[in-house]
Amino acid sequence: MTTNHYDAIVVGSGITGGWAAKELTEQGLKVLLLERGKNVEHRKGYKNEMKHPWELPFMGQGNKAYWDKHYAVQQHSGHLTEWNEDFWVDDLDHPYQSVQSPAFRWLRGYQLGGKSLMWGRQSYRWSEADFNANAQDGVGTDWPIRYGDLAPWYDYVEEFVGISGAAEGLAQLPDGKFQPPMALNSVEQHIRATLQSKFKDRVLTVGRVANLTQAKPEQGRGPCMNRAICPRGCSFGAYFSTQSSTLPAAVATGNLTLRTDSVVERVEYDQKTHRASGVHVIDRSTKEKHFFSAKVIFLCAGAFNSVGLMLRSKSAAFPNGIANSSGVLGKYIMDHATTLGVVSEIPGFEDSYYYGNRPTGVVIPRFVNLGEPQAYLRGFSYQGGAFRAGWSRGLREAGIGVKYKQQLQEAGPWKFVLTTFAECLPMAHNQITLDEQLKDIDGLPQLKIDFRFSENEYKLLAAAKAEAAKMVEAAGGKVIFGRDQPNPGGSAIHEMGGARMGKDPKTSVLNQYNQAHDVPNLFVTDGAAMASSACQNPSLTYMALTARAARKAAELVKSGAL
Amino acid sequence: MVNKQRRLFLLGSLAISAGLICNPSEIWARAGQLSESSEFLNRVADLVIPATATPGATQVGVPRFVLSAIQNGLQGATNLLLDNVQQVINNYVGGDFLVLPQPKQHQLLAEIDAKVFANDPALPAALADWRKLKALIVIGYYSSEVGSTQELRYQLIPGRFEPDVKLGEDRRGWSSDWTGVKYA
Repeated sequence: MTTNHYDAIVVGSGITGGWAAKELTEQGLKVLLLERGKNVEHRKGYKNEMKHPWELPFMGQGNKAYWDKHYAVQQHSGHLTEWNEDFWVDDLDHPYQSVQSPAFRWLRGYQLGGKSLMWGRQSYRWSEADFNANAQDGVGTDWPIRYGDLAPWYDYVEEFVGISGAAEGLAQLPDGKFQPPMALNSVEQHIRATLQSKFKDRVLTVGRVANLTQAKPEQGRGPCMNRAICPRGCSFGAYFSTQSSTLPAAVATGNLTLRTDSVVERVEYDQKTHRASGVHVIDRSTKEKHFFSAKVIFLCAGAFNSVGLMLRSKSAAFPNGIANSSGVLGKYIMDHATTLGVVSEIPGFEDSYYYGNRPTGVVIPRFVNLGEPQAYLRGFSYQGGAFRAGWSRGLREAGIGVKYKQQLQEAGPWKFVLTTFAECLPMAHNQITLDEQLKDIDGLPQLKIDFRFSENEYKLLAAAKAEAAKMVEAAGGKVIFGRDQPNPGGSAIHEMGGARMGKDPKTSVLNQYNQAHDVPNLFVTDGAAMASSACQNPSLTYMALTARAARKAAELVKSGAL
Repeated sequence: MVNKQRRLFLLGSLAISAGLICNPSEIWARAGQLSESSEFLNRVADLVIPATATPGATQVGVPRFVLSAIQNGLQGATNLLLDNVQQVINNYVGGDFLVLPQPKQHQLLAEIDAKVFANDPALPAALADWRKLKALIVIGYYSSEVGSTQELRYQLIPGRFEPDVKLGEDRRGWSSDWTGVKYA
């Protein structure tokens, strides 16, 4: 046993852990950053970044037999490729149980930087309507904050991260501090114009994305090279990740201690002080156990892992998990209901092409339930884009020989696709518990995930399918197909909730500063804190919440309150 | 080679009957490991992607990729894929496909391919495997250096995004448009 004391411990080094480490160290706190996975160094750790398909054993397709064994779940992520498979967890080592059918897809990256290395980088603010939603329709507990509480923190994180995007003046998707937007291609411009003329309530805009269009020399980050191979890691530092952005800032303070291969077994609760006194850590390389203590502890392990860690942290005071006097720890988990709303072909642009790969698509923000109530609660938005079909269309087409080869040589027809992102209501029956019998490779109890979409999500997806087809047809396009059945839960990789924020300690785990009602020096700032899901990608909101909570925690430490 | 695979499988099956070996997948794994080339595969690969101004499938090593892909289950392939496809094609043509003159091979394979992609209900179910084999040939070719950079255009680091480039004489697609390839 070794003992070490810090001002703050941050568990997890992904998007929120990186932010917590940066903010707390910049406030002068001595911080221990714990990461369960291996170290991945910026640039050096992106081993396949510059490889061509023909330089990989399976030409970029991946070894299916190996994936079926080791990535049985993870291979369903659209971001897992032969180039970056090492960034995803080995499902054999890190299994979990799923109660419902279809099984929940828990998609994870256990390494320094976590999923910040492979994330989709879509960065959207939530709106006033989103923070009002639970109070307005009575589903879920009221948020203890409103848009105004978070707005300055959105400003703050956006300027550091570097978000490119276009200001549109929409109340339901507030503008931010944007770098210059990336351009729409000719078909996307046509559809934007169609919406402007035929659907007054709808806007198509380029995806707001954490890829730089202007360099950030002070962070050593260059502008995007338009490769769109971000999830391999980016040596230009053009997209935001822990490695490219928050970790160097934290290291520069001289206040950071980083420990990788260190999984936290449980948080220790001191019944005398009513505080969390520290964390018990298993060193995954030596199997030794260590205890580290701190004045404040930030859980940023990824929504479900933070909840799992809290459930594992049992004591006489909290027999059902730390900070769980409410009994709602583990409950009200969510993930966006996603599906391919429409796949279409858009004729008339055969002589137009593009050069380079834009690392973002387009978004059509929510336009339903903003005024007159609909037959469903909340709303949906779309993300997608227009592109010319590549050579792989040959897999679906008849033909062989010279003529076939000539056909595939030409840029293919223009396609326009929209993926629906529907808000997921917070329901008590969607929950995480621990399976005390089944363990993972570290000997920790597996999570048991009980999740299913509710009727409202199905209604949203059905409405979204119908509306997507209308928009495509109005633009002169031909609908090839559209879906209204959700992909399995987890597919959006927007898992949220389980330690929700709320006003009432009897019905929520965290207060307005992501601080546990029951344990004032315990903060949870990743997706676990979410009390509702909206229909936007949540990472930017996690960042803003984390920066805000870290500033608050630092104030409390400096004032002696913690 | 294909016949050698079948012989091995039969031997394996006999061994199972004799209680010597009990796992057919192990037998096939061994059979698969012995595949280093296949005359049938070489032929159909070049019928699908022949040499034109740019090299064809076998010249760029597509069969090597296809064999490795089959052994590792890409596109849902099993080690029986080549055998099955060759057998049903031979049945369809009523003899040994490989001894036919090349124009005849092209004509018959084009006919089979058209029927498979039209989901012709009269075709034997096993011919559905042709889709898998063709997919692997196409993937192998357009992911090769020649397919990516000569037949198509390739740029790993474009450095900029131009949203509206008028297509002139060179109407070739970008093999490095990962979105266009992934979602085609």
